Amino acid sequence: MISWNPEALELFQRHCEDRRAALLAAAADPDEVFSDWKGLIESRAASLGESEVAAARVRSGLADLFSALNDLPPADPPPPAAPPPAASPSAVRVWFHRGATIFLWLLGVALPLGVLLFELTAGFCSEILFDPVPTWAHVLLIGLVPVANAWALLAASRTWILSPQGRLFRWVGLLNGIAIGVSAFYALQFAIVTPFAAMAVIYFGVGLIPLAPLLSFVSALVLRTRLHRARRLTQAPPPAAGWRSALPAFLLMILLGTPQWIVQAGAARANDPDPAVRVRAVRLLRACGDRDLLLRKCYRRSENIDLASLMMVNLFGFSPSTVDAQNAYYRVTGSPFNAVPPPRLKGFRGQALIDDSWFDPALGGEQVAARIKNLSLSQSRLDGRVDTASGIAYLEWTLEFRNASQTAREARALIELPPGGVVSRVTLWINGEPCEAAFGGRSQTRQAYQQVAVRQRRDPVLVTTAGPDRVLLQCFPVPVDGSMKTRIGITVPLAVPDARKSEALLRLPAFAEQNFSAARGLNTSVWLESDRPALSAGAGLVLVQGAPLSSVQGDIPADSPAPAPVVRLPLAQPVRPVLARDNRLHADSAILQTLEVPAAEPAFPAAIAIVIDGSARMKPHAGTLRRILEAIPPATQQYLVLASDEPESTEHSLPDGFLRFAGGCDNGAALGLAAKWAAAHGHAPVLWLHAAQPLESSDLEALRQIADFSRGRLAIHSHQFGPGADRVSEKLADLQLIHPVPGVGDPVRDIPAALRGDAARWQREVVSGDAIPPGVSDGSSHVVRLWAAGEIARLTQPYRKTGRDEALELARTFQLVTPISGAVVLETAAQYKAHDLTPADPATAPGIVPEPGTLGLLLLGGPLLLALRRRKCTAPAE
Amino acid sequence: MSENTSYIAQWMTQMRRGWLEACIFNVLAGEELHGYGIMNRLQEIPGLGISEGSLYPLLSRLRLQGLLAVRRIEDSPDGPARKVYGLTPRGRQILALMNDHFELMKRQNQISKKRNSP
Repeated sequence: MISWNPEALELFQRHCEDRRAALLAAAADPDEVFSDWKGLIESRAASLGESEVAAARVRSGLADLFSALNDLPPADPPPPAAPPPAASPSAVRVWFHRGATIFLWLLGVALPLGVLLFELTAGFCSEILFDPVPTWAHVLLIGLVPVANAWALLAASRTWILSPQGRLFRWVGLLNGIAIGVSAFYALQFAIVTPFAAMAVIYFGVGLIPLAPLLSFVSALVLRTRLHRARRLTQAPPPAAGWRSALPAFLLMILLGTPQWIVQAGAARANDPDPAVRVRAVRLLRACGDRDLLLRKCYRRSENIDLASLMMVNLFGFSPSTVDAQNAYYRVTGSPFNAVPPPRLKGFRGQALIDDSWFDPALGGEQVAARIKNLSLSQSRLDGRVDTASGIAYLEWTLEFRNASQTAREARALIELPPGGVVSRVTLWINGEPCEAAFGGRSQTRQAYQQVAVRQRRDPVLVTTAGPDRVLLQCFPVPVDGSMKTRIGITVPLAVPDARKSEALLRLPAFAEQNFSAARGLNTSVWLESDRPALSAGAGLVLVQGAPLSSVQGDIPADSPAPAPVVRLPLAQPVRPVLARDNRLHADSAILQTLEVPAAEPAFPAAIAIVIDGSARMKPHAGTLRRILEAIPPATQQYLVLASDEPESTEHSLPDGFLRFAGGCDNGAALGLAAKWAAAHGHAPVLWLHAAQPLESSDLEALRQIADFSRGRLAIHSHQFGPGADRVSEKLADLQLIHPVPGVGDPVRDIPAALRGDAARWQREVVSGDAIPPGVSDGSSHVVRLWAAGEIARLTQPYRKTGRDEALELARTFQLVTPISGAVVLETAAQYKAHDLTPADPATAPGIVPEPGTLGLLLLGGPLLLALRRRKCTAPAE
Repeated sequence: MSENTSYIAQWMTQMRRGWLEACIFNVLAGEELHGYGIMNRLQEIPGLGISEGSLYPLLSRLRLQGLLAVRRIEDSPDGPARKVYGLTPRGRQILALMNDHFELMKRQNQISKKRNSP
């Protein structure tokens, strides 16, 4: 330990005090420096073997300390505005900074980037909430958020700012502002779900995806402060003001949402009760509505979850339901939403991560609705027997459905029956055994079906009418990876469109609408037997002559949009009456059927009102429409109504430019106008030429009123161009107002013929006892069924006050599906009993096997006919 | 000529003042050193010789600014504890900035020279 003598110590201290001011000015700690100097002098003394520092040592030491010739002057004092930190940054602060940086990389860069990529590939949010990236502009702007945050993280260091890249510092600020604006917009969009997501993260550790916008927004704000701090430390020029880029970015996001807002508002107003509002909304959507967005809204399950939609709902009341969107889609495009391919699910190869297609909103309802994925028609077979002597055909269509999805499905099909046809048999195979249907009241059978099928998920099938000449078939559940087989029997009167010709026509049944697809390449195998060889049949069918029965055989595509084939059959000339007996009739009673031939030269009506559907789907038929109108005699007074958004009418024959087609039009108001005109002109017939009518019209009350006061005198002859549902006719079925024109060939020929009344009509009446004419041959028992169907229609005419109970009893007795009755197959006797239904006795159900009387006739007459034919063929030509 | 020499000497003094701190940081970037060791290292750099009388006030200031950390080592029970200096994290950040800045200055200067060369 070296000691100091007092003189040396005084000298050293005096020297130090002289330097204290300079050291303070140099921002040094004088006492520390003095201590260092003192240590140096002691070290020198010690190295020289001295035990005491003398004054001489101090002088020489101090001289050494300041001996360098090129010594520096004292440093300039630091600026007063930047006081020196009292101590070095603590380790806690350093670690906090590093931790925060890691979190910023994770939450501000990796999370938004990952969520964007996840959304683009999986379409998670767009399927369960709303579509956050409807356009590529959205993708670009969202993509800027992680890029901006990453750049800001790199640039918020003094090293970067002072590097050559530092000149881009202003752009970093600009991009950071954009990130703030975009992420703020999405944070608000997800504001509704954010609390739930936060709770999910806290309790379950999942749910970061909906929080990504908020976390990105916070990250961008934190980085903004870092950028400012780095700038202050480096004296770099300030980054661009945040609001200058954040606000425009936020506004741009709102602007990019304009198509969604238009669709939201348009879809809501397109179903407004006020026709003027409705028309404006439809025109707006046609002019600038995004059809893909509208289509997506038709399939949306979660409504109005995003902030923009909520604002539209709460501020303006624009809250379209899925059904509103579906109706709006039809009005705008003219196609039902389920007639076009459903919008592709966002995500990799069009698939969504979450397959929520298990949900079928139309299950158990009265509409076919959208096609269901993985539900298909796997087998289709049409058998039939034609009895030309009785003018009757009986067809059995056997259908097998296959379900390859992960949940039980309901197969629904709207079946267009041959004109005048009635369903007289329904069979369902349960555990391989055919089970016959019970026939009961329409609502009674539907209720039984809904309880057994939809709630208990057992094995029923339901058939009900869906407007004239149409039935709705529903089968549920088609089991997972399983199949369901059913059959409907149809009793059909042969159509005789021109009584002058000795031929009858049979149009085969077809699907008008279905919620399943046909298996690839599936054909309906057709086999019709007839007592007389057919004259011709449609494409794909061949005529096979035989004895005693000939046949029509072949395959027709099971899912073809083409019109159903028509089979031409010969009729005996003249057509003889037949007598049909049935033990369900009163004893000693029978049904006498005759063919009523119209007057020799049927006249065209003196006046006619014509309603032309102005929907876009009628455009391809404009030429046909013109030819139909040209076929109307000039002497006939015409009233033309174009059912467009706002119906237009004229009493002149087709003015130029009258036929215009756009979107999907509600024909209700136009039908009302035409009916009013027709009622004022001696109840002239109304001809309605239209495409499918998937909407339930909201303008039918005027028509109903006219129909009520017309008491059966108003008749609307309708012809539908193309397949599809006709909700207007379904809605008016109770009025028995609409009569489909038997579409058995060319509408240009068929429609005028139907209006003139060229067709011969089958008349059926009950005869008993002595009134039974002698010598009348026995006819098919199906004659009785058709009589019953006609009697039911008569008893349920809208202006009749009584007769419904009697009609229902007839439907039950003769096992018919009519507007007041349905057919349902249930699984167990207990289910039938619970719903007060009795399944049909298989012995009373019709079948393809020829009835005994007909068989005997064929066995006797067949060889005779064949012999006559051969003799005719071998006769020498004259 | 003497006028030029005087100007350059003055310019070098000014430059050394700024350069000196960067050199101290660079010296301490790889290892901890006591004051004497720092001075020896600095003297290896032409024109940067500095007396201990000037070095210690500078080290004291840098410590107060949080750029240097001081650690005391007890070499012997009889002698005074020796102080060794090292860089703090902030000192390392400043050193990186200084080096980058010097590189930038050097590069810009070269660019300017190239532009002016015929």
